[in-house]
Amino acid sequence: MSLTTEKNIATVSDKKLTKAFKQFLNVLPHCAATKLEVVEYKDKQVIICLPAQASIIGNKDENLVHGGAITMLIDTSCGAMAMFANETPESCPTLDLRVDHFKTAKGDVPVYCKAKLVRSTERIVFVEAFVSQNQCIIAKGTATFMRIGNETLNKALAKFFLGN
Amino acid sequence: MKSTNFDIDHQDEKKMQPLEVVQKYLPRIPYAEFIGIEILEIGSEFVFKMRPKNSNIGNPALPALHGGVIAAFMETCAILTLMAYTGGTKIPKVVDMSFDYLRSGKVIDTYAICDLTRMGTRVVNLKVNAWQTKVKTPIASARGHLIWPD
Repeated sequence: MSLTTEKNIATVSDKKLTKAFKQFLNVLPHCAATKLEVVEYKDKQVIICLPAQASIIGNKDENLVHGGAITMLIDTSCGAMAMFANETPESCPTLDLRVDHFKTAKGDVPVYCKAKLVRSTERIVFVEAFVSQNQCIIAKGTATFMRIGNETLNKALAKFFLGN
Repeated sequence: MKSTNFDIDHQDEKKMQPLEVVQKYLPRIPYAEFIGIEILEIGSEFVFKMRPKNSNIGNPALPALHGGVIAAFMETCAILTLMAYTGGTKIPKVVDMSFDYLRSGKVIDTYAICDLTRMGTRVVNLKVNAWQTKVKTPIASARGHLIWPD
């Protein structure tokens, strides 16, 4: 049985939503600063890439990516997923985020994060994410978001991201 | 109670590296410099400060700091606090971290302090608190484990 809720984002095509995800990342200054890139949105999962770059290194001695940069990637991916978890985009701040680091990430290879919507309830959105590098899973994230949007704001967001 | 090698008493200042030494660890962590982390010494404790930077914003409408940046700041705070104890030969690795976001982070100075709750022989359990205007109104808290750097 799939845990993914059936009601989410049914009315928008994957292609259109991929575009909306890209637009969402563009308006976030830290995502622009770290050159985060949406790869695609497919099967109710979004894939975001963190390209290899000098500024995200957390261990210069061994050339490893900072765990915090991985956390930031997970937070962004899960946050974006939460934003588009319902029929209209909603602003969803993070309540809780847990990250398990299975393996260190090499500094010269891009890192990918796949975020999946687990469940969206009346007040809360649950998202889960896996981070991989060279096809190997290196971290797991579990995040909870709060739905705070009101109708006016949601309509404005829908217009901005989906053009309707 | 007999203490083991790693049951370090927090009051034992002799075991902590001086501020000048800990500051030299920062360039080895480029992401910490990228998000604008500084180290302060208040009394005998290290308090970490993150400068407000436009590139740290995650919600331009409010504006508010990116949750991931606050997390990275707290993680760095934990890493550097442990390095202050170990002497910083190696940078410790993070096993897991769990973050609770309590308030949205304004684009102003953010502070964090790490409490090394238990230094085991293999892993270190810790807590981090981050605040902006008042210590008693934290914007986020975290708990987690670091692997003792060998």
